Amino acid sequence: MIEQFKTLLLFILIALSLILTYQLWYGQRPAELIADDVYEQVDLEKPRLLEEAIVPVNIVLNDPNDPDGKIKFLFSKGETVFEQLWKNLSRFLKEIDGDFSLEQSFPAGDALHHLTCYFDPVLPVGENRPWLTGISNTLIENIKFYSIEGSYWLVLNQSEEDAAVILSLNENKSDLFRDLVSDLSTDDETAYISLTAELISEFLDREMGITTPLYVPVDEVFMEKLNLSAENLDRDFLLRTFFIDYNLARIIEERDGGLIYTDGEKGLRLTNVSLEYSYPRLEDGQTSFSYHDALFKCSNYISYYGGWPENLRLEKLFLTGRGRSFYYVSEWQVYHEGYPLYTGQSTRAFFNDFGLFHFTRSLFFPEKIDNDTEVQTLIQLEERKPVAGWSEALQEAVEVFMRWSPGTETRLRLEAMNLSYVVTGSKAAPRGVPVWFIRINGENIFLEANTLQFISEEGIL
Amino acid sequence: MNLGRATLILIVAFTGLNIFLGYQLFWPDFGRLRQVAITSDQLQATERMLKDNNYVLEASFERAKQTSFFLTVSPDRDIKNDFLDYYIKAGVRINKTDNTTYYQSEEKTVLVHANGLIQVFYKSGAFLIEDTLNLEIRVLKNLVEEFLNNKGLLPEEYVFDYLEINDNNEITIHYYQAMNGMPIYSGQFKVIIENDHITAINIYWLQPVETIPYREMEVISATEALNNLVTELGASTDERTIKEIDLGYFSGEYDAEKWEIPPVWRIVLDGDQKYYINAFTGNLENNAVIPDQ
Repeated sequence: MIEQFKTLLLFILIALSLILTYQLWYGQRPAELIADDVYEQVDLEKPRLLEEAIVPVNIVLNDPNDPDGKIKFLFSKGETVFEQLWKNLSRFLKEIDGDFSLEQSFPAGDALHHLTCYFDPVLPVGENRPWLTGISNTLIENIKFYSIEGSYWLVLNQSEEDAAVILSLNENKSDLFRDLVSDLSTDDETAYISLTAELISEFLDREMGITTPLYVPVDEVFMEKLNLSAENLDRDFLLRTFFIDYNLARIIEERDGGLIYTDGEKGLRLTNVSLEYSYPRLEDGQTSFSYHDALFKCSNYISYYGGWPENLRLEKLFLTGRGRSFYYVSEWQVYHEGYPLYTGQSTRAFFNDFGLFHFTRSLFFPEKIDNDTEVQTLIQLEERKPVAGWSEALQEAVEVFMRWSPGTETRLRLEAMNLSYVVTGSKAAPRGVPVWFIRINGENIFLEANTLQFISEEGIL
Repeated sequence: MNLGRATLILIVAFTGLNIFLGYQLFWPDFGRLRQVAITSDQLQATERMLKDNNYVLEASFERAKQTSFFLTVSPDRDIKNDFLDYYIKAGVRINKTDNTTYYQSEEKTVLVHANGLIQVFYKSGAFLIEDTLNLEIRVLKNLVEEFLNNKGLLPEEYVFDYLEINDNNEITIHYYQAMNGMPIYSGQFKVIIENDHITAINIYWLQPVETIPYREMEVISATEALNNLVTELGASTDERTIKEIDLGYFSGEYDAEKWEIPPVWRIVLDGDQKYYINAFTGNLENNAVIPDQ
């Protein structure tokens, strides 16, 4: 019995020594890479369709009652008339299909100019695009609508080629367009004129060129200061969206209360009023996708990373480069009643073939009173005040510019001029102040709209 | 010899063998009973990969599965206050800029930066000992630590890292911070010696605020860290030697209230080039990812 026990013990010891030798030599089964998988389902906002992603900068309607054609009506994002007009025009452009004849020349002398749609970013039209599927693919900077003796013409100015595409609409489509514009009422609209170098020279003692079509109001315009609120960013949602496994992201608490999340490769900075995301490793990439694809991508990014609110307009989309890297930049702007709201930090995305490598988002919206009705009213801070005239604003802007560059003999170029809002005040109580926004030779100048007091860009939230 | 005696001898022999194997496997920490993270095959594959890319592995490392968690830190205000007490008592002129406070006396200037970095400059140097260049590292290190201790400038839980001598015969001794034996590579101080005199001391020390055990996760293996590093650096034209590979904590320096730092594998190449691989993500850590920093 004892011998049998000793034999059994020996076998056990031999087996144990073999197991231990194996363990020592080969190790055990490899461990899982990460202790716990924490991937979570994230419900993202559905990106906008292409026809919803691009809207005109503005739609300029010629006053049918002005025989000289100088008086215009300007419609921009955030205005009810603009939304309805662009909806109709967009549908009209989608339905044209092949109902036109392609013309080689345009009899401008006999034509009556009705309206112009300006696009920035440019509008992709042609086959497999939502608009004007009957023509070859091209990118359009503006579309001008004319009539000549009852027939309607479209002149499409392309972004990269000098030659315009000229379409003469057939009878059906001409009737459709006639109905579309005849429905428009301009009774309560502000009259605008087109700025020209000659017109400017009447007010300035020096020459100034104009690089882009600009329109300024000739009627009195009233604007008011707005009570704003910063967009409410859902931190947990953004963390889950930017980081596949947000448990790997560490937190850095800034002295000003901002929070930075980083996994060592990418960083997300969140403050009460903004977010900034950066993924430097992806910067040195190339861009092989088209403008059309870039539109889809930027629509995805803004929708995924915070959403695409109603009055947010895609303002810019362009390909640029640094060194040997090329990437797209897209930028968005909030509009209120046709006026853009400028913030200190743009809402902007940088992306290339590798993906999104830089994204900033800072949006403010007018606060509204929720009075349990469908139409919400704005919180009134003060009475609407008349804004200073465009000529006074331009003169003041030139003075500011000359103070910045004394003695400069450079020819002045007026690159932008429009009424808008800037976001000022504190982060806790941001306010929208009406301003004249004027860009001269690349320099942005903000002048308070009724006093023409200069507002420094450092003071903009 | 009968069968019973032979069996007994074999039992004794195998018992001894099992004790030896058990010791090798589990001693000194029975935590090694955990699964190992690196199998022999993986280790061999990594060694082949290193060799193919002209790297030589001279360092040893832990093969067992390990876990860790983020560590929350802030700039060490106690050190800063000690410095200020020490220099304010000595009667100094104080100048301030946006990010730096200057404390100046006849002999020294102390710069306290907003991010927590403290720099001490001795105008004519503090004499240490003759012929420092020919001293043994151990002796020189002990002298420096004694000097700092006497001045009340020696932080707690410091670890000697390395010593370097530049072309101008300037000696720099590097130390890093530790917490319960775990290196915090971000916290460091260095002492600069010129012509047998200490001329400057730089201290960037961190205050561990809290560990975050509820986010405890398994760290990547040392071999995976090596694989990631070679992927980042690419093949080397000259042979490079991997001298050390250790687990610790590291992150960039931030001008912030407090921040979390991840565990990293610190890999030292050729004795002086250091790389930090995030032990959770496997990414090479750098400072450029944080916006507006």
